[in-house]
Amino acid sequence: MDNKTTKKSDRRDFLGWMARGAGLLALGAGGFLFSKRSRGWKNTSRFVWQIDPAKCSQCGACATNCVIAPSAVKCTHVFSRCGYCDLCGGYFQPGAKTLDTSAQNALCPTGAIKRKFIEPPYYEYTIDEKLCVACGKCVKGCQSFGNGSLILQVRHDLCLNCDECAIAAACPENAFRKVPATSPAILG
Amino acid sequence: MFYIERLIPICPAVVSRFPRPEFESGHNIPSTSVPAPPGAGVHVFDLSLLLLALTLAAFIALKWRSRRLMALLSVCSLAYFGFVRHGCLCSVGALQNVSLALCDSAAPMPWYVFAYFAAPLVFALFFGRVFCGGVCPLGMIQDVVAAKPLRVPSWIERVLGLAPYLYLGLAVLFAATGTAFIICRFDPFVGFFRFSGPPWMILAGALVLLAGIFVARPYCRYICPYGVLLRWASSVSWRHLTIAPSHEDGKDGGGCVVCALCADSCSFGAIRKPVSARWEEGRKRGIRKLARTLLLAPLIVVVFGFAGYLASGPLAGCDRRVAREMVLSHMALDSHADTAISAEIQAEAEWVRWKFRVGATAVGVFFGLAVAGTLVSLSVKPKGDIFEPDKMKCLSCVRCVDYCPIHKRSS
Repeated sequence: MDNKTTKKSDRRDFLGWMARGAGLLALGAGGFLFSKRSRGWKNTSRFVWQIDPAKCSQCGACATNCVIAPSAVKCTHVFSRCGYCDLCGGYFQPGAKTLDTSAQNALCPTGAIKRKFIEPPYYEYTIDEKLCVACGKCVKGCQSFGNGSLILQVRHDLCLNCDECAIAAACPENAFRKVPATSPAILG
Repeated sequence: MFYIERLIPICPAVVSRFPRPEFESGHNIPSTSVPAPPGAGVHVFDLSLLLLALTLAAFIALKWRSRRLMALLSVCSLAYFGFVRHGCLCSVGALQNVSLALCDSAAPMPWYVFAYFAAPLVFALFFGRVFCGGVCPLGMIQDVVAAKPLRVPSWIERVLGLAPYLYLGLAVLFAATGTAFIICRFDPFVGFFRFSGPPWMILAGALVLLAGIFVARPYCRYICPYGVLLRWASSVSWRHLTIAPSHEDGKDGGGCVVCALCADSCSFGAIRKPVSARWEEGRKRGIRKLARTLLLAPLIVVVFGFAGYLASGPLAGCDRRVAREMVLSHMALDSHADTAISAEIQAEAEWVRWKFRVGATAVGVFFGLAVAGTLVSLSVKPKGDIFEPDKMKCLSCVRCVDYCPIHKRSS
């Protein structure tokens, strides 16, 4: 009787080890496969979401779809591309009567763009990120009448870096992609 | 879900209409600020905390056998992995990254994401579902509200218990085709962890939590797709939580005196009762029933496989590449003009459709196997002469241990 029990439990033990071995083998094989062919296996830092400005159509989805409010996407100014125009397509409403900082002329609904006089005829525009809601109006304006120096970018000090980005899922242009955290911006 | 991509040609993003000024006042052009993502170390730190929590949970479940310690661990896990880290990345969701990376070598797959996926499974292979018992934030948020758990009738339990198989199949299908991460999108609790989210997500989370007062941990038992993998791993676990402490002869739960005090202690219906003599009487009938089920099984698998194939069309419609092609072809039909869709868009959509045809059929077959397996398990005589946790269902929460009189005597 004793012998029989031992035999039975031996067999069960053996089968158990076989099953566990198979499980470990499957996981190990998966890991090996990824290490050989997948992008960024060795990266310790994560891949992060970013907007490709070349694809972005400023549809406004960034303002409404982010899981945090206000959105982790902000307007980003690439100063090196800016023409420092007096008549800024990103700052003024089309057909603005006077080129000044009065609210009725401003394109930005939250007044997040600051205009500073540098020297005639140049003005510098900076974004107050606390106010920006990522509606993309200024970006559109700058693209229609300007150098396209205003772009929408995911700000990684705010972004929660969800595994599935809710804005990316809603983006009609498929402009979101994952980039290595070591170069987290696509300035275009 | 309609995605209209590139319907209207947009302006190129970067144009040089106005030259860069040369300032006479010597004004310096500021550089664009690019905030860096959280440091690389955060994820390694998280992973080591996950491994630490898993180790602690294994020790608590197998060695210290203390519900109090497990509850403490689960509150800590909920606080850190849930509310501090906002529940992302989690092992449940990492399942989708793994599926996507298996099918698409261009998808990023850092090693620690794989470790997130694999670690709870490895622990389950050796110690049971300790991840569910004390680490998973999704489970822990339900654990704290399970105030008045009712016993779920076993037929409901079995029917609902099939849902995770379907969800797992669909989650892998949608992730592998690069369509969506549905586990993340329909995660009911992540909205709580972030203190924000779309109203339906908060509402769904609230409903699941409300149900969770009476049906303990409904998400874990009837929805969680990762739970399926953990069930499999745990079913062959090396050691597992036992209700009665083990005897010296090493037999798990060998100390059980079949007093039935623990019988109703499990909120999850995961305690197997000793097999009554009834089974012996109906042996012949049982064999016939098993034979019938085994004969029926291939039919079930084929039917569900075919159902999956039929569902592949609508499922593929959820993919943005397919939806785009559909919208464009409708527009082309409506306008009667030669706005022919580009061959590239059509080929891409066709490729996705093909993947869905194969994948959805496979999901159907997989679900059919799960259904057939459940039926077969109903026809097989259960084993065991003591009260013990069902290794597949047991979440290693250690609640039952306190109900065992032997435990009380020894301590």
